[in-house]
Amino acid sequence: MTNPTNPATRLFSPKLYREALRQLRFPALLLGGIALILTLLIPIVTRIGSGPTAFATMAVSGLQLLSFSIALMYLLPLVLTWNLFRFGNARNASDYYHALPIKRSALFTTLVAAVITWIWVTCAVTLLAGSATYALLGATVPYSLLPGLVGFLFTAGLFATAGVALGMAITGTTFSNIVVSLLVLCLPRYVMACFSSMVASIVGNLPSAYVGLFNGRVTNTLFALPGAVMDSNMDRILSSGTNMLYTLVLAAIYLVVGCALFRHRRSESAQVSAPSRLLQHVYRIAITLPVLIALAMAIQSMLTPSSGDSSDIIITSIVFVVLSLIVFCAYELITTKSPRRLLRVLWTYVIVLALAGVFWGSASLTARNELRFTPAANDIAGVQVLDLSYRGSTADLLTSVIGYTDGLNSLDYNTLLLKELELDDPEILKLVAQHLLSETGKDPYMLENPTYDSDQSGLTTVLVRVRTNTGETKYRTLTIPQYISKLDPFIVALLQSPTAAEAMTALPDQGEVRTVTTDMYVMDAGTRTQTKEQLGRQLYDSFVQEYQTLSPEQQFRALYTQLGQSDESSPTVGSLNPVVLTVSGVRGLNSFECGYELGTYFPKTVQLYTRAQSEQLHDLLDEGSADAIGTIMGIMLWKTTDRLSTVNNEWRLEAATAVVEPASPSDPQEPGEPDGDEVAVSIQPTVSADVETPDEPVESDPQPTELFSAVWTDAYKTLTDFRGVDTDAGEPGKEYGITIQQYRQMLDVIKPALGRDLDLTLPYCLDLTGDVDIRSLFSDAGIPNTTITLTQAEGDALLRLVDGIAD
Amino acid sequence: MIQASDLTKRFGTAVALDSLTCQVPEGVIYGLVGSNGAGKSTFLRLAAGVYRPDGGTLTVDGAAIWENPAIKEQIAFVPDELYFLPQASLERMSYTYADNFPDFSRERYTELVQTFQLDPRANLNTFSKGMRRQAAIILALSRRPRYLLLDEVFDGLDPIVRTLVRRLIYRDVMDRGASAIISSHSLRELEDTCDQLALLHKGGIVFESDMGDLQTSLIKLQVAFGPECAADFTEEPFTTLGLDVVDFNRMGRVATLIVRGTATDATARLAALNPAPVLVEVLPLSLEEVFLYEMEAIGYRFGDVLESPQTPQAPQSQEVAS
Repeated sequence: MTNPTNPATRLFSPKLYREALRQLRFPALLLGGIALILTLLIPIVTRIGSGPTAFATMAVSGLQLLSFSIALMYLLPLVLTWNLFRFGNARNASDYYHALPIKRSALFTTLVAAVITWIWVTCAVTLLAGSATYALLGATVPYSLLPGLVGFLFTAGLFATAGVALGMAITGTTFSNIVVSLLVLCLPRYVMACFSSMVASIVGNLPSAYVGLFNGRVTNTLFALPGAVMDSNMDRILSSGTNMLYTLVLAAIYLVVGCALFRHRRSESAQVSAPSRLLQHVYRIAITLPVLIALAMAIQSMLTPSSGDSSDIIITSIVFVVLSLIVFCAYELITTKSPRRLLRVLWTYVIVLALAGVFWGSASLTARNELRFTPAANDIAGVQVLDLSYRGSTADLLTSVIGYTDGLNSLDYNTLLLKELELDDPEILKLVAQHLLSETGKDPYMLENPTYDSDQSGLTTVLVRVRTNTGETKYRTLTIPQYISKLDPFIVALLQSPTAAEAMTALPDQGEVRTVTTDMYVMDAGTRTQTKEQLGRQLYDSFVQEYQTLSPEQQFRALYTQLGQSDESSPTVGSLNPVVLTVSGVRGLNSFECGYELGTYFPKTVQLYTRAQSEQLHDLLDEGSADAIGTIMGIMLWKTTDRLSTVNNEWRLEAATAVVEPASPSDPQEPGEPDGDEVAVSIQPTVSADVETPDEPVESDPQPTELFSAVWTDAYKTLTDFRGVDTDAGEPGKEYGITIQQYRQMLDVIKPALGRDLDLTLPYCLDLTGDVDIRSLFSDAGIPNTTITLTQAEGDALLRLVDGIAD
Repeated sequence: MIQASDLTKRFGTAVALDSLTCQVPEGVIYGLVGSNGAGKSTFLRLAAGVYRPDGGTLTVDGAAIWENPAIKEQIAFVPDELYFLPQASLERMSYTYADNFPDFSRERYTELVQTFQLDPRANLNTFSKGMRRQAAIILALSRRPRYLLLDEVFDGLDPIVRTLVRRLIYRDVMDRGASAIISSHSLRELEDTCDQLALLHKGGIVFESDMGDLQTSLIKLQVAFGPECAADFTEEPFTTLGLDVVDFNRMGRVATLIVRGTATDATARLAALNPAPVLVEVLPLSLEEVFLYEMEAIGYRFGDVLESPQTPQAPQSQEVAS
């Protein structure tokens, strides 16, 4: 017999838990099974498509490991929670559950526990099974990510379940279940995001992530995923402990509130949208409020100088008000089905208007307070530079919703060092004061999109924390121009500060570095002889050696390529698809992640990179990988355009020649070769320069990187021309273009000649970016010795094609 | 003992139970009758711990039922609208009951399934209304509860099963001293089943009495006259005698009266009639008659829908509680 004095029975019922697990068995196993099968299929299909070597050197990402467990994380809380808690929507079921000899709090927590159990089990099984499949098939699985990913799934699933359970605890119909659950999950973040975004848009130089308590620096894991997918630091964001802790706290609050409301929920409210008239008002107002908050934001944005015509305010207002009235009335009519009742409650629309007004007023007051912060230089006690290249937008709504989380985007090493310093150099304080005075209250759009002068290549946003003599601390952004021929005075001032300069040009110690990766062209992988990590380490070692030979200013330019990289004295590798070494590690309690571009200062490292790239392509060629074949096809096409011959130095490559000659009767025929009219086509790149062996150091290299610049530029043009062109004639006016039709013709010629059933599809062509060492590729892959036998018709077609392109 | 004191339950502005006071002793079958919307089902839901009282108290042995698992374990509730898990069979439901109710007896369950001859593995959705009710009764009785709350329990049952259910309830009450509260609109059913009865109307008890001695203020009299009496007499002579005639019916020279008062007083007054009646007999009131006339007395009146010869005439103003 249940003991009413036992606290355990007041909070949890093991037998009901078992029964609830049984009830959820079917939907959980069905959805979990589907997700599991799909998750297992992905690595298998990838393995088949990429070949064993490429797969073996592939570094599996966190998102790949999560796979369809993400779908479970979003779907199961809704399905399972609704499944168990829908008894509140029917009187007979409500009678049954409320007649059980169990405390209401125990009923709530037990059912939630059953939902959570299934979510956690199915998500964990899917995640681990997918990881195991990758591992069994030979891929490199980053096991260190797994705990973070499990935490991400668990917290997001718990939060979603808590939100839906809370929503269902205070509603009594399926429609109101869904609406109120979504409001519970989304409305607070929406309002907070709108508030911070609006304040930031008024202040101009205040990042929305730093608007008082309402900030986007931390977000719950349920909303972190979209942000993570859009960010290069996805794995880190997903496994952020701060986010998880925040989500756990939120989920706990929702569960406690949900439990309390469930305890006081009137059993007779089954089949009624809201258990009381008051709550019906609350729901109706809550669902209408977002529309009017959007209106407030729209009007505020129209009031800024950059918005142009402000006469649209009236039209916009009418549209939003009508929309909000539709939402307001629709909710009431759907839930009560009583037009008469709608007329009786129409007055509550005034409350919605008032709340929107309160929202706008609060945001305006907060902004006004922030606008006052323009201290003089002698009023500033110190400045901390938190980020030299702040990527968080100042007023972007999406950023606020999903949590751009500059606190989560791991800082680069130098910023990590720099932010530890509070700078009080007079010149720095003076410049900060000047920036604050001139940029506070400016339209963010105007700040981010100024009129460039000819010496400017762009802007950089620097995030600083300013502490005044009175102890007041504020976060602000400084808009720093990027000059072509010089550095901005603020950067100069930083470099003239010994402590700041040291912090800004240091490289991570080898002991602090955990991983070094780079983005290989064909795929994110290593080579046959080196894993991605080994390759990265080798490249980083070379990078460090070359870096140490540079002057302090060159070091700065090398690290901060976006801050004045393009002056004439320092030619760059090219801005289109620069090779980036990604170095991550831990310094103290903080982790960092840096991206080092392999620019003109690092020829040896670039050479190592391109050699590895070629080796990777070679590996793929040996397997007959579609990727590699597609790549080589593309390179052939570029070369027929003869663009590369314009690079006139010893690294120059000339166009590959396609020699077509009639098949000689005297030529030895291979068994199985086609008879009749045939031509032998030898596709042979000619390399005019001496080919250095990979182990030899690069000597007397005048401007080695120009080659790569030219290659990338040319490839970029070719790629640009490919895009969107799907006509036989090609796009008029494009000098280097080749039509998709021509590409297909090329494939039609080559594929039967190779005698392989290759999956050469268009995307492989479109993927081409060209950052490859063509010399190494052709020589290493043995292309010069490749002879492809074609029929006369095929040869003619190829010749026509090549001629057409060359023309 | 279940004790309700000033028990009040409101649904919004509507008052379902209004300061209701009653008690259900141990070992009795307690019948609840009343007009539609009188509060019978509400009372049972309160007694099952489903609803929370808005006022007053509802206790078992002095302990409140609401949020009291120890008390709720002693109560089995079969509501008017039955609930079974989706796609569940009776067997599946038995496991659910076994998990949720510690007193569930599988032995008893097996015995009852055999008695009712239901297929325990069949989907309950395929059952008829009566079979579903039998399934619910099986599950409830399998718990051997101390208190059985049965809302419209005979609804949809055929006469044989109805008798079977009645016997099973009797056995539980007699063998184990269990108590049962049965609400029904089938007055004859309750008349044959209950030990005690409460008549509810508009959330209150009109009267509460033992079935063996219905303590109503109404009496039924049959008065026969000799040939000297005119065959078309009316109730006027009776009212002249000071009798409070609730209903009057005449067939030839035999009149049947429902009179408010005591039998002694009424027969004494009838002795003064001229011509004197040849026969004055006090007849027992059926439960249905009590229900009809007591309800009529408090303003709950029916039209001509009842075809019983004793049905009151339709009044000009008909008032039916919602």
